[in-house]
Amino acid sequence: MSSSTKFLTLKTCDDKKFVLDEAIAVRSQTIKNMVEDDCVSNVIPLPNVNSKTMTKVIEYWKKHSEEGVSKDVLMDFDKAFVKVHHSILHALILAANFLNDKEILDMMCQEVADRIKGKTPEEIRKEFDIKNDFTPEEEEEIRKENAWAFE
Amino acid sequence: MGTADMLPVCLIRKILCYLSYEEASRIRILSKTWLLAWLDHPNLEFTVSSGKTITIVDHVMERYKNGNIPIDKFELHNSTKSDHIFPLIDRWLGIALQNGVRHLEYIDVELSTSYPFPIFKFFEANFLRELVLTGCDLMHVSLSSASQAVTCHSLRNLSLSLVRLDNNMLQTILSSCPFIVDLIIGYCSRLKNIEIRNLPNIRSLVIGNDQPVKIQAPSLEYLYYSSSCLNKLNIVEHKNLKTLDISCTEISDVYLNHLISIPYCLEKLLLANIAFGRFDICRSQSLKVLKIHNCKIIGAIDAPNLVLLEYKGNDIPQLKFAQESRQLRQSQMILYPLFNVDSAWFCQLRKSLSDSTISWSQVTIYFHKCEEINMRDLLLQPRVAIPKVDILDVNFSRPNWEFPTFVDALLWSCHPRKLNLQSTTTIFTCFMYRFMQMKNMRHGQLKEAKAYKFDQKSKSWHPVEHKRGRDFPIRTSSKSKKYFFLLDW
Repeated sequence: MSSSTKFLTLKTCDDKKFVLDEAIAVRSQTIKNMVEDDCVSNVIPLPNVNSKTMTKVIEYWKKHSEEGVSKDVLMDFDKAFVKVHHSILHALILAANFLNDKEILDMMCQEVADRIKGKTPEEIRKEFDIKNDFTPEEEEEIRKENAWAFE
Repeated sequence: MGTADMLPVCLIRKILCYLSYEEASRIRILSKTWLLAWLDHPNLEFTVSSGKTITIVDHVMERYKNGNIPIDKFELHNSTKSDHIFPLIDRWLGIALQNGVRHLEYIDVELSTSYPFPIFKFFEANFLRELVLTGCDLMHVSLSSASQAVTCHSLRNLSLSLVRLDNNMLQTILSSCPFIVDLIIGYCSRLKNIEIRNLPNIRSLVIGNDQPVKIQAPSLEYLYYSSSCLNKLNIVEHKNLKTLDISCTEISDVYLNHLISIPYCLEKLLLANIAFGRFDICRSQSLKVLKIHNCKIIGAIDAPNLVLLEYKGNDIPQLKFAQESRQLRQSQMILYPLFNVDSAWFCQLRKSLSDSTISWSQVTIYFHKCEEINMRDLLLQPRVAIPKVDILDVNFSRPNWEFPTFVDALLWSCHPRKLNLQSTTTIFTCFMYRFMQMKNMRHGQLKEAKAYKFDQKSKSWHPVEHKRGRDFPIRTSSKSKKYFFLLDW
């Protein structure tokens, strides 16, 4: 066990380095496993995460590791945290999935779902930049087979 | 980069889990990836009514069966009015069971048919965590010797409402599921008496039944009980009870106090709809939260450690506190006057607010109708201490109020530091004019009044300035807006 390691260095895909207290970094189950398996050398590479996204993740980790923060303050923080452009939202979902941080992943998926609720498929495609890769015939077919959902 | 297209199916599946099945179905045409994620959505929720919906549900269930797709939650709302659908329900439930369902809900929306729910099949499978049944039949389920011996270790939450079952059946079910944590029994009319015991893990119990109930559950922390008379409830052991929520028409004082005085740790007491019988709340050291809703006659309250008090009802309460609760942080009175409010009503309000030993942090009133108020009637009243309400919320059901004396009566009876107003521009203007007049009176008590308006666009509050000699912009809008006034007395 490398219990003497106090700080970890994380390297994102765009070659930015983040030096972080190990106690905070192990909020990521992926990093925690690496630390426990003793396969941490000097730098932990995060090939799937860019520095912009990592900055957000670390901002979340630090806030949620602070001592003596009230529930209300954390709730307000979370509320503000998810109010980002959908591209960042998706990058955070991918990052949280790679880092295996269930807390961030759940929160972000909930946010995407909340933004979807009550919107038409066309509105959602527009908001989230989703490319419709169905042919018009295919789309018509799907719409028909479950007409009940549109009643 | 950064479009939803780059999310893999497994993550889209996760997002879909936060949506209802209907919503998820609606958006599966976003793209091929979304369709793929939807195809094995683990939470199925259906409402069947017509032949068309039946076909669709059957189609979806068939696909789950053939693909062996795991089902976590299965919810079926049946609003068909005939029992022809029963064999299909059998089939769908069978598939759900086969595919590992853990949360199951069957609701007969119309309550016109009585589906014989195969409850013991699910108990035997031993992986169901939650079962919610409304309006089905458990009388015609065969009680074979084998099913009686079933023990379902997995079930934690069980809810039976408007279900046909008798005492024997209930006892068999409860003894089959010893690890129930959360139990709801609501209006199962065939039950002649209910006995809850031998459930060592039970924490929450909800009972709505007009028959005698006996409870022996030392682990119980929450109890909701609704019936015509509280005396039908017999709790033998309840040393861990923290919250007691009672909705009964009739109550006996001795019995209530017996209930609330024995638990050492009762923290929350909610009393609702008590129309007959006066009740006192005797000295309870542990009580922190007290809520009284729609109760007619309330006696003395002695709860020195109360933190939160809430009164809600049509009538102005006459609450008497044995002593001041020093811990009290929030005390709210919510009134829905049924009839015209008049001078007498305001006198009663002022008396109630100044009489109770505690000061009210918030008073919320939903006005329905008001008569022209004669201020002289109010001022002729015997003097009582000036009430000091911290926040007064005023709401109107109709938008056309323009009685200046109404504003006066409101202030006279409550003396609020802050007044929240949800109303039209016209009513706001009426309040604002009156405040300005009062402020400018030579011997008036009101020193300062500041008004703020909520802006929907920026989602923030902005001060409303009153410039001398200029009228407020009066727009004939019936839309309700949010305002508040800070009043300095």
